[in-house]
Amino acid sequence: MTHLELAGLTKRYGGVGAVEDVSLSVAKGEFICLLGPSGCGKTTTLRMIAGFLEPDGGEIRVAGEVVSRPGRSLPPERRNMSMIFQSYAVWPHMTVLENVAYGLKMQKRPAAERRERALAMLAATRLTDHADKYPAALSGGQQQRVALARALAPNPAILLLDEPLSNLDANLRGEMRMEIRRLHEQFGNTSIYVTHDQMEAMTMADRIVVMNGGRIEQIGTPHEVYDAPKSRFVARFIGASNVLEAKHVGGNQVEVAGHALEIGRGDFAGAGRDMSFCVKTHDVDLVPDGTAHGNNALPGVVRSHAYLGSHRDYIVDVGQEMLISAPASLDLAPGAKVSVRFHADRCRGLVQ
Amino acid sequence: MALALAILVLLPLGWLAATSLTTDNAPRELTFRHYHQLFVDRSFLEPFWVTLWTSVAVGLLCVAFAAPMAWLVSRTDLPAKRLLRMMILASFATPPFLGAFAWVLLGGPNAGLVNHWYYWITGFKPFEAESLVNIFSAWGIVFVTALYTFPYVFTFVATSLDHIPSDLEEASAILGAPAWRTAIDVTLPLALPALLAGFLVAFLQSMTLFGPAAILALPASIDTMTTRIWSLFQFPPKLGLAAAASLPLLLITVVLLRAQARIMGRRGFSVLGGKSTGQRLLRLGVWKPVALLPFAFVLSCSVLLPYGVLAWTAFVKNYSAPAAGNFTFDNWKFVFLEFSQTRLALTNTFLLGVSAATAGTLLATTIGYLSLRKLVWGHRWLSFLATAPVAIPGIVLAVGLFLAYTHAPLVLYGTLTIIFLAYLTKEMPVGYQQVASSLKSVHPELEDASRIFGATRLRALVDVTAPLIRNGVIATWMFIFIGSIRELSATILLFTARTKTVSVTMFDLRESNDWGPIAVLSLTMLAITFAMILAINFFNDRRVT
Repeated sequence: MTHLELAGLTKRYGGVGAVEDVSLSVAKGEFICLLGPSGCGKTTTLRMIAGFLEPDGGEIRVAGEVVSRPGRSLPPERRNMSMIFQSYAVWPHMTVLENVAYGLKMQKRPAAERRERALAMLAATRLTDHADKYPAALSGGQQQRVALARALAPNPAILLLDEPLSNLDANLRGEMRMEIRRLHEQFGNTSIYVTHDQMEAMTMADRIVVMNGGRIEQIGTPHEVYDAPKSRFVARFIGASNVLEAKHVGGNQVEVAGHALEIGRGDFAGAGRDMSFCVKTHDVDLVPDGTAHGNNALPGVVRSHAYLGSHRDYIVDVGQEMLISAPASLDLAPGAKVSVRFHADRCRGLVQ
Repeated sequence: MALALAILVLLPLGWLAATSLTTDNAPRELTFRHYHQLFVDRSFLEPFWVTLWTSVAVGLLCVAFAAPMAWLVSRTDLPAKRLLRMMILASFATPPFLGAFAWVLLGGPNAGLVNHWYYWITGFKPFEAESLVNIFSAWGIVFVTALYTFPYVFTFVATSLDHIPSDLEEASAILGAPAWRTAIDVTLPLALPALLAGFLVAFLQSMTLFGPAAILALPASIDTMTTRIWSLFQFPPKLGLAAAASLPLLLITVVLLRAQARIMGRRGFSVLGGKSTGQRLLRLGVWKPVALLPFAFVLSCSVLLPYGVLAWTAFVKNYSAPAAGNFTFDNWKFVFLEFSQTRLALTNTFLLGVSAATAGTLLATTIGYLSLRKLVWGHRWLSFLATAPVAIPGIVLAVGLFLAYTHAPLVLYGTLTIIFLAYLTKEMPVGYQQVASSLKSVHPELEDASRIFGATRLRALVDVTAPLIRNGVIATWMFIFIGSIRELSATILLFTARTKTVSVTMFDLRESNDWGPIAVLSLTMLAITFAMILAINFFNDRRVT
């Protein structure tokens, strides 16, 4: 059942499109990540959903009702949404309990109920001991949990999260990822999560929306986006991928620097045209000595390598530079001649 | 709102320009006569020259003392830093004309106490030997003005030094530079913008101050631009000339402030984001007493001696007579119970202070919120108009207001309202900047958070923004109040018998050499000022800082 719907959403600043024709259907209780580099329009999209920005084109519907369209936007306070901000935005002049109870106060719930529910939320976020403290006395992670408890307390129809973990250090970030996902399972709010960190998106989202330059590049489950990127941008951004330039020969055959390769999946440009294909860094074989040509392989030269304990990362020049993860036992010096062998079913053709 | 602000600022300036270009009497015609006279008349060229060289001298003197002092406080293990900083703040908070009064008592050629001590020590006789200091001179103005403007330079440079991460200096040290080399090659260039900006501000202060010049220069028959403009308002008034003479002050201020903004903007705070690992302090060792000398000298001259002489004068019959049998409370009785002028002046000053502070705070807060949150069309113009008066020297503003409000439809001359408008305009930039900086420290997401949980914009303002800028708003009110109760440069042209303020009354009392009452009023003013500064700290809500 569609709960939140964006249809042709557009926002321009001084003629430049920050968000261009974004359409998306979100089911009730779904956890969606908007993923992309800074300036890709993900935060602008989120702020339009929240009602802080008015779209220049398209509309936003919640449960079938239009809440945003050019010239007519419901103000944020009348959308029954909650939000967690990058800066936490925990109010320093209110105690933790007052912070968490604020949304309930705005809903004009009785004082006793407010207190009970706020305390329950503090228990759920393991902040009970800090109820009467001021936020300045809390650590960054604790402040973020206050923001989380505050956002969940009014039981919002839709929960918006704007890079909530980007100000935390790495250890806390991992812990908070679990926490957010756990609370999502517990309360089941429809959630829109904005991030530039593909790890966060992969581990938390039901579906990922990859954005670039104000447009949606791909929508899919974490597995789909990782395994079957639809564009060069998605392949590069999701990481651990090499994107190589090639020429389509015909059928499943492409040509790279005079060597024929077979590509198992993906899109093809049409015979004679330029295209790309992507392959994960650990999905190719690095073979020493560089004589095994022809067998779906390219000759190359080792440029540098880094020992990472579990494996070694090699930069190999095959006419284009590739990053290759090889077993730690394979020790090749820079300048060594090598062959890079491809497996057709691990290579994916890209046209966009 | 924008319109009211525009009228407040632009109307006086418009009248200023128009009057400077027309003849004084009907029929009013276009003329450049006033400007012409400005350039040929020795009675204008002379004051202009005096103003220029004294202001340069003040700027240089301030830099010469304040820069090493700032370096010592910021970079060495100088003892009693807190106390020193507090006393520099006290110099800052002392109205320069009060300092000038005090220095008349200290440095007057014959009766001045410093000269008294000098004769007593040397055995010379007054009127026979040359006195040690003569405060009634151009150098007297330079000295007193510098005493109360050096805190600007000190604050600029000290802030700048505090923000230079010491790893920048350590980087120089590790490459083999000795401490003095590092100071010259690294620290000085980084602090240079602050130094330059401080010099410019000291120069501008000196150029536009009326008090010290009027108190110290007029008795010596020296004129500066401000006293010259004032004298043009004495009977018979020459308004066209006064307007024409005001414009150079305005232009110089605008140009120098722009220069200052550029200097500060370009390099001044570029290292502000640096991650500092705490300052490494230079050990002074046996040099500590030597390092304290400049502080002892400057702070004695700016705070200890003046406050001392004022306290003494307030409680004695004759300040230059010995202590025995000299004590009295008559001065206090006179000021607060007997003399109707001072009671009227105290009432007026209090009314003006409270109304200017209240109106100014409301206006500054409203404008600050509207322009920083970009809620209205033309918000840039709002903030520009609110900060523009910083470039209008007090006396120039007074000339403009006088010209603007002695005409129908708004005849305000002779009312407290015109003085209120002067204070409101003059204090607007300070108020606006104060409010704006506290508004800027409130992350917009704090308000957004309140909105998304169901608060209207107004409710978010009440629940979140207002409590968070409360400290800044209270401080703004007090700053405007302090600024208003001590104002002299603009008031001196706008007051009438019914609308005297304390500062103007003190200026009058000097004519009759009533130093006791002057001292009482000075102490009162200082007491109120310091009470306000303490109150700001008292009201500070520490949860949000």
